[in-house]
Amino acid sequence: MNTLITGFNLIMILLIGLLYVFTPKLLNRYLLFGVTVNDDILRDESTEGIKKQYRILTLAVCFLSLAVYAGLYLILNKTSASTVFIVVLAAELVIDDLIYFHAHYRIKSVKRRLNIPVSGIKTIDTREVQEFSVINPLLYLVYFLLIGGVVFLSLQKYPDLPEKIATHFNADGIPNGFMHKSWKALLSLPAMMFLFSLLFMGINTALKRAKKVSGTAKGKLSFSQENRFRYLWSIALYLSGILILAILSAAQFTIIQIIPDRTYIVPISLGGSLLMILMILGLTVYTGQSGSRLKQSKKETDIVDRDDDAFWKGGIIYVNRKDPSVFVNKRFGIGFTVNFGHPVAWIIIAVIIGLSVYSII
Amino acid sequence: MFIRIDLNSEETLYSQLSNQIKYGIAKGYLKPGEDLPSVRGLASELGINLHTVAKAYNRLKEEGIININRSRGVKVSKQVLTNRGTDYETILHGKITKLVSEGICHGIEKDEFMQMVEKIFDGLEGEQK
Repeated sequence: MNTLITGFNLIMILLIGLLYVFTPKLLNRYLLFGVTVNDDILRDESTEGIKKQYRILTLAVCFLSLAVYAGLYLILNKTSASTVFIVVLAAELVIDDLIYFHAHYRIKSVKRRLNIPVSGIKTIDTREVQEFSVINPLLYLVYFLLIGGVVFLSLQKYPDLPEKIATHFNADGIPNGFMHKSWKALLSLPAMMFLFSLLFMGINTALKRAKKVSGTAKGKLSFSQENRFRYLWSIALYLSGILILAILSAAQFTIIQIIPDRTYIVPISLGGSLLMILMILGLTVYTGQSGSRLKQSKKETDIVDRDDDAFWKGGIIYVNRKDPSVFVNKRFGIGFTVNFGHPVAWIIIAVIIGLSVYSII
Repeated sequence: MFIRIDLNSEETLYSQLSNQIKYGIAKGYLKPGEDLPSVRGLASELGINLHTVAKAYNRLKEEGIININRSRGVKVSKQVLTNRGTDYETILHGKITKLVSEGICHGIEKDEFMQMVEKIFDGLEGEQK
């Protein structure tokens, strides 16, 4: 069973490493490493060098992380495998971020050297200021029906459970954590499922509203691309939620002994997670950020976006007090981020942190 | 229609916005009765303050150019090309007086001015139909 987890961990390290390598390919070409650029910057000699350096360094980090994880796994005691995994993964992320920042500041210095004026001009199409299409929020009722079913079965099974119930299992399905039989012990997983559902519903709404940031000097990002991107991602979000709920339900059924064979729980959760990651990765490659890789409709619009670099700290954190949007599309990476200049953004961050802390405790 | 806003311009953002909408209507890009974005939608898309957009919309509403309705949203007024509004001639007279005086200060002749106005009219109305 340990080899299964190790294999999964190796795949995770590989995929995350590759995601960094290929992120620039998924973005609009006029947003290079989080900097608004124009054709002059793109044609500059040093730009090609910066891109190449980023590619080589991130690729090196990816394979180095794989080697370090495999090496440490063989040298160290196998029981510390999960700690080693977390440390290696964290190191990989931090180093890749540093490589990104390095590229970001180098592109910025090219921009300064070429003396590109900061454009304050932005054009929008009044017919395209509307909400994006996402799946019907009523579909999320399925989530709550599922949770209701799990709670119902748990309550039915409650009288038959022993005084001490196993709540945590190791990789081989042998229980290593116990709790006294109580309502709290029984319902903590369903409560987590409930909070997850709320979070996913929230993200679905954010997908509908998040502002598109084409961020292009000479942009041709069409509304239809962005709209299709949002719709596909809202489907993926919904399916991911179903997978997470299924994994957590399987765990709950193991705890309340509806599934007697505990050895299934690890393959189920690993398989489910892998399926989810592959789906997200596939969609990432298919759509690109803001649908930049999707086919463009014939009617392109000459939307020009102003140079918002001053509001993007490090090209990653958006702080603009005047902008009433809470969610905005990311510049470097897939998905969206929040406007830290908006008070609602801070509330959302607090809720998400609270939720993660709750699920760890 | 496209709205073009320049943050670095000396003209205030709300007057840029209302002038752009008037230009769009005059040019025929915006039809009478057509939907306009909500205050929040437009502010969010342009990344500018809600109050700026609200101010521009309120001025346009006072001039009878757009209608703002809680349930039906913001629309270009149906009577926009036909309804003059009270005292509009006086307002226009005042504005043209300013422009003509300024032109005279810069040595613009009467014929030149009239030709310019004619050209602008033709350019805008040419695309209306």
